[in-house]
Amino acid sequence: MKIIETERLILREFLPSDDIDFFRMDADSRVHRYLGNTPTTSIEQSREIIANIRQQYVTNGIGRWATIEKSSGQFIGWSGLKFITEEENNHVHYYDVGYRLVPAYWGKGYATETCKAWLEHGFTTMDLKEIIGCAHEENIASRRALEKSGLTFVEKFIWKDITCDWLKITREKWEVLNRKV
Amino acid sequence: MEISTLRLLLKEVSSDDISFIHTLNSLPEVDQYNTLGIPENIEVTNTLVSEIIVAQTVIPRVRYVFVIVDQISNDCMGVCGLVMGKPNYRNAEIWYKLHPNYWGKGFASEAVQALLDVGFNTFQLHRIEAGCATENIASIRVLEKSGFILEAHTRKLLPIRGEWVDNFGYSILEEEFAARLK
Repeated sequence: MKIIETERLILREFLPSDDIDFFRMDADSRVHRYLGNTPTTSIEQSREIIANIRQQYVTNGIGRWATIEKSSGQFIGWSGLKFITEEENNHVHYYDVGYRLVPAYWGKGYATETCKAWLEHGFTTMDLKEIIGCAHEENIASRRALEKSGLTFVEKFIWKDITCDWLKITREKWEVLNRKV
Repeated sequence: MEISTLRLLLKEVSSDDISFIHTLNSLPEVDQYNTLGIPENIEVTNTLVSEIIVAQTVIPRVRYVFVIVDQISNDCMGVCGLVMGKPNYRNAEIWYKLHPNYWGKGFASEAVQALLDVGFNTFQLHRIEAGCATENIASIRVLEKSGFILEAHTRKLLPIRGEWVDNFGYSILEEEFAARLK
């Protein structure tokens, strides 16, 4: 199985057996505060989502991956790139970097750590030209993780009646940020 | 030299601006990513403004410092400047500093546009640079929105309140500025 390793985390593709962990995360209303407040209500929904993600691995070559904390071996959420095929903010067919973490693991810099790892994967292994990141305009923690990773705010846009921030990083910029001097 | 934009007027600094500049430079929010430092007393600002005024008499001109004024209210909103490099390089560095009351409304970007316009169209420059502390997200946004490209992550360049802080070096070329106008 392919894995990506960061300082404190292991990133790997989702497996059907992640269903319980996934459901626990997505059933938590705190996780959905800035996502439209519709937490998952049945494990079946989570199984469908995992199946959908695994299909994206095949169709798009990439999708969000499971994120495991090395020290505890615990599933802490998902992170990674997603190829967006439905129009968002007048854009389609672009790569979005994201993360969704279990609240117990918030505030440790994990979102930033995954974001940086995925930018590296996107710009090196996948040879992408630019990567987008979005967050609810009030989700300061998420905005901060994206900005610390090098994304810059471009504009606001509306997603499902929610005002969100659209951020972007180009390959050019990422290369400068990661130049080994 | 005076430059007007949609909402702003950029006027070269005069001794009338000492009080505003002193207030501006004394704000912790303005000092946060700045290397100038909060002035100990008004004398420090007097000296600073005197140097700016002297630079206005040097031929050829190298240093331009403008107060940014709201066209409608005539309030001072900030300062900005352009410093020429070696003549044969045809380059310059720009900078800007706004009072927090005027943050978040696109005024810095508008002032930067005015400086780029003067630099490329009036002074016929080839390259304009700007820098900011790597943590200065707001300034990063102004520069990237204005078409600047990140070139350098300079380690521990800026002396800010006793610490060495990393700098992002940005630039925009004449052909890049021209392309944006299309």
